[in-house]
Amino acid sequence: MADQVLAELEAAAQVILAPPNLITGQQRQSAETVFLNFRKTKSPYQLCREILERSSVDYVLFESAGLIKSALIREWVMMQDEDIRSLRQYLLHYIISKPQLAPFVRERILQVIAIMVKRGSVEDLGRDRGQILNEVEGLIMTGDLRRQLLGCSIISALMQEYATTVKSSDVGLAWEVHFKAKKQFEISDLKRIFKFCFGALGELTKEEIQEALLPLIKHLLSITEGVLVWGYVSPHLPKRLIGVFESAYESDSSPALRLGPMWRDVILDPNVLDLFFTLYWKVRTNPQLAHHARNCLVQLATLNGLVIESGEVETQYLTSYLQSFLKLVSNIDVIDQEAIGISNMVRKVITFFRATLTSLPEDILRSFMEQMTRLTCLFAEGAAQEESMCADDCLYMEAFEHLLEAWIIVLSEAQLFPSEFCKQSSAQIFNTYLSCHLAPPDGNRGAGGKELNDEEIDATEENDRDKFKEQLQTIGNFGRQVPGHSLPLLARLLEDRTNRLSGQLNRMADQSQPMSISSSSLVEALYEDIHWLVLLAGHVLCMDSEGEVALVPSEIMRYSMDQTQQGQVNVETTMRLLASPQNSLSDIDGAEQSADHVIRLISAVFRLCQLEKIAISANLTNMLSPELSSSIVWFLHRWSLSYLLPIESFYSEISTTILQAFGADTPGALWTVSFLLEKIECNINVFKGEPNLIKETMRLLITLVESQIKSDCVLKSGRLCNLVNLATKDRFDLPQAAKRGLMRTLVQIGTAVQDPSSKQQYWAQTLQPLDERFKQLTGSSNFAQTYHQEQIRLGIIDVLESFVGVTQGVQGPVAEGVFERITPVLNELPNLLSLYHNYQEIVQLILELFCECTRRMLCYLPQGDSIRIYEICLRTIQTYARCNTNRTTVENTAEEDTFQDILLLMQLLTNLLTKEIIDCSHTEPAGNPEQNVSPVNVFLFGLNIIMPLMTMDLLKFPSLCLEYFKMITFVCEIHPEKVFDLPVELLSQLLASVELGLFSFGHEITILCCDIIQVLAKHIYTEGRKGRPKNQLMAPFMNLLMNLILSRQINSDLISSTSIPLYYLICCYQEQYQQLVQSFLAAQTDPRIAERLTAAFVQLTACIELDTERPQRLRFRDNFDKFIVNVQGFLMVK
Amino acid sequence: MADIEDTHFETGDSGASVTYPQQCSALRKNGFVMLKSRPCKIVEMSTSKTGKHGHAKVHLVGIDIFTSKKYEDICPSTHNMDVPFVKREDYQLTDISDDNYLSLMADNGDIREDLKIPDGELGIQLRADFDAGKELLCTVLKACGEEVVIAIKTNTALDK
Repeated sequence: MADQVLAELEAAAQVILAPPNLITGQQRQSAETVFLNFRKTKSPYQLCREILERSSVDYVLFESAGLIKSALIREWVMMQDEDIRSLRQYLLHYIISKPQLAPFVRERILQVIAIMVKRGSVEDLGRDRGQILNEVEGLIMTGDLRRQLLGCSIISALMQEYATTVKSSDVGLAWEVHFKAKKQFEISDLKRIFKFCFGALGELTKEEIQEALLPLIKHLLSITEGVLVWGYVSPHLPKRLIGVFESAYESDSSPALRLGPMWRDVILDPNVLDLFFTLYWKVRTNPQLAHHARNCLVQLATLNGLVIESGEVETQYLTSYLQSFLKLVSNIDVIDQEAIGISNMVRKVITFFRATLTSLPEDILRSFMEQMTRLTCLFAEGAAQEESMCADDCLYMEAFEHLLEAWIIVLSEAQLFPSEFCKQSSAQIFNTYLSCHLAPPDGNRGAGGKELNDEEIDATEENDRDKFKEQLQTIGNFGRQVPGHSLPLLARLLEDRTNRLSGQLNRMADQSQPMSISSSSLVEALYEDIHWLVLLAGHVLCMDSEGEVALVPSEIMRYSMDQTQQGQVNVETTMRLLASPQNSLSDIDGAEQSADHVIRLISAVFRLCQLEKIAISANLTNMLSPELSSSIVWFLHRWSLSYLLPIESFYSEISTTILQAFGADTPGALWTVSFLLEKIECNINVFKGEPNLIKETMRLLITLVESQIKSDCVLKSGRLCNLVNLATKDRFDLPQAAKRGLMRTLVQIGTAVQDPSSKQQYWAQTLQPLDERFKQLTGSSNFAQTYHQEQIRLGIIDVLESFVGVTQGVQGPVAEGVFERITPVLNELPNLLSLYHNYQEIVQLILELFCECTRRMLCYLPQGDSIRIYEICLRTIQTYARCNTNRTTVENTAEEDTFQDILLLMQLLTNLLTKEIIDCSHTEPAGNPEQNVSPVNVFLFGLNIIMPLMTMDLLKFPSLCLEYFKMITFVCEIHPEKVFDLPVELLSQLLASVELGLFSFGHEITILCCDIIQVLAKHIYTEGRKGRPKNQLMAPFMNLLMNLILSRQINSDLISSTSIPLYYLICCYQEQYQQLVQSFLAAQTDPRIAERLTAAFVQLTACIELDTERPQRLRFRDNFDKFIVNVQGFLMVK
Repeated sequence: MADIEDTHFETGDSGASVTYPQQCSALRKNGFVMLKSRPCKIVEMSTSKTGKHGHAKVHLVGIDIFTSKKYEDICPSTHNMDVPFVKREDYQLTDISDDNYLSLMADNGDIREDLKIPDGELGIQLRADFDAGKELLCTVLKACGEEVVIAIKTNTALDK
């Protein structure tokens, strides 16, 4: 029989491997079928042996090995020990005796052997494995290179098989068993492997390394590396975390070397560090070996755990590590490929030995810090070079960033180190970074040869402050370590560049002729310099404050106070400098000598703003750099968060100079706010075509009204009127972001207006104009004729945009007041929608306005107002549905349009439903229950209207699909009973979508659908317990889920999400479940499989009460995990 | 200051102008613009710049509202683009003449009979629905001197 099979397989292999033009599709298909059938052969061991012996087609050999593997996994429990052993022995001898075997076949067979060893070790606790390792060590000692390499391959295959547990469910073992096997291997054999390899490496590299031995050394190194990056995970961690460790093992960032006491005699042996550093020295220029050797050194820098029994041992280990490290780095010129490895050694040493660093001998610590500083500067320069060459590999950039991470730790514990260490290093690194970003002669930007060019840059590309965020933060931190150095340096450079830019712009304004190329590149270079100076100034002066209160950094505060205490500051001069941005510093007497350095730097940026304003008024706008403008506005935004109107109670000490300049109730603060507002207005008017700049400008504007005290200042500034004009007048040329942001700001200021009559007046000034414009547009008697006119439509769009802005600015205290004022407009919108239903822009704006209303205001509104919103929203939804049902159109954007509309409608419904769980209105429910309208009813009413517009095709839009299923999950979670009360047609449409969602739209949706099934089944169960009739609607899902799981249509990552829903379903429909099981069993033709399946089903529900209680649920979940591993091991899938 | 004062709005009906200028930055997705002299609906808008310190340019992708052809254009964001006057009005279908002209009644009761049955499937469905006695609303798209029925809706109960 084997002859026939072999002939057939070899013929099929020939077809499969033939070039596509020589065979037909049908031939290929039938060849593939041959192999597909072959893979399902039962007990194929004898057959496979024959094939392995007789065939010379690699592909066939490969397939045979694969078949052995899958059959072994399926049939393991039914096999005799003797058969297994003889098979394994056979395979081992097979690869030893066939040195010419194709590598991919050999690897496959090695994997089969490793799997057999591992499975066997679960039963014999690794006895057998020990013997195999003896044999393998014997192989490596032979001196025959081929055999030595094979020995290494076997060890590698074994380690690979044991290394991961969470992802190796395909060997037919439950995770717990995998994990136990791994631990056992770790304890009994890993150390032995390490010792063996270490010994062998020592022997092989004692003298000059022989060329011929390089492959063997490489293999041994890679095994050693494997031992050192092994995830020595504590058995007490939960499975999920262990999974994280193991996936880290697969990626670059290996887990730390955390060893137990049993490793003391090996890893603490001084020869180990010595050998690896020496070995690295010898192989560092050989890319094949250097990589493994470097990784070993990096791992050795992470040694921790009980293996280190005392502080002395740790200090001793670290001392010898650093001695070797320093010897290495001070004697080599770092080559590109080793930069990352070396930076990792430093980073790991700092991370894992931070507490021990200070107990090092001082000379070692000093040398280490010096080397660390030198390397940081070196890598910074390398990174800049890479940048300017647009290099593909960012080796130095990554190395530089690693070292910055190490510095963050050092700086956070700067007090532990001798103080001049950190200061010197900080200044040195700060200067290097600065000069990497300045043009010659002050700096060396563009040293890689490529200066700024005229590339097309997409607006979505990250800007420097995002791209280099972490770098800039750390460099800012360095700057703050030495404020007396960094602040005046930055200020002087900025002043100098501003003067030069001013000169250039003057020249351009004077000469009306076109600009020469050289002067334009000169200006570009200036812009780039200033851009970086502003970024650095922003990072030295301020820290990132996302999610917390922004504060003036204590180092800066201290420095400002120190200057005053030492009598270096003349406050009056400082204020004069601040208040005269139109003059240059040299025009102000004494500023150079006695102005506070903090204020001087801030005012240097203000001077820059002033220069921009002057250039704009001289019609040089198109000569300015929007990129720089946006960096400036970014600075102002970041700066005003902490320095402008600082809250004194937040500080334990505060600089009087800063307080006098920007404190509450000072002329300085008022002046600054006006200055900033003027800048903002100017940007909105002049740079409306620069989306990023406008966005940044709006962020600044919002910051200026974020608190009561700042809003008060804006109110007093005298520029409010301009803002109101900008915000409320017809301005069809302004971009959406400005339109909305302006109105949002005005409403936010309203929160700060306390006294009722002023408040009325304020709203009259800000909201009324919008209201009037709206009335003017829609109220005219012939509106029904004129509404089509472009001018009217633009007006409507403009005013609607402003209203969206209004709702975006609403905060709790003003919600009712604002609602009161805008209700008349909202009330008109359903009619307006009906009128403009052919104009999608307007339709969507109206829907968006309601989305914002319900998102930002609804939760603050009392019952009465809420009901009005519900009513208006429902009318809007109805109108939309009326205009769009039974409609046929030829426009090919129609589907996309509908998608956008429905997405908005879904969001609107979800927002309405949210009121059910988030209600901050503090109102008592009305006494009359008929007046109580619950949001869920409103939601369901709306859903009923929208569902007919939802088609399964629309679910193919991922964002709409997600929104839809989130919404359904939400309502099912909070009100399952209402869902079952839906009209039959709607309910069945809904359930059909859940069914489809289980397997059609990807992970996230599958999980949501599982949640939906779970809450609905749970509800049915609880109702049943209360004696109500059982709803049969969910029963089909049990069948469906089980089928999807067993036929592996649900991804293995998601299986765990299906167990609890399945459990609830089984609780609900116990009889149907029994039938389902019976039908599965009846479908099995092989009696042995049917038997195993029966046993599996019995175990699945063994000792589990079907009462939905938590302990039972968890037990079911565990049983289910085992069930899946078990069943998927032997059940063949068609 | 407002640019609107400088802009002359003409109603499309006056015959004087079929477009008006608008600053590129104020255009929006789903709005209309002239691309390659064709009236288009904007389906995609993105910005880019030439060089790090350059000024923004707007990249527009539009679909011809009559032919569904795709057009693209790129324009400095401070420049003006032409925007077509686009009108999309609903009419009630009252009759179809022997030579395939539609009788359409506007909201104010005016009747017009200058548009033909649209080509393709929409026309076939329009004819079938009309023959079946259904009440039909026709959406007529008008821009740049062209005018055509682009959508029909069977008028159920309460539509105006």
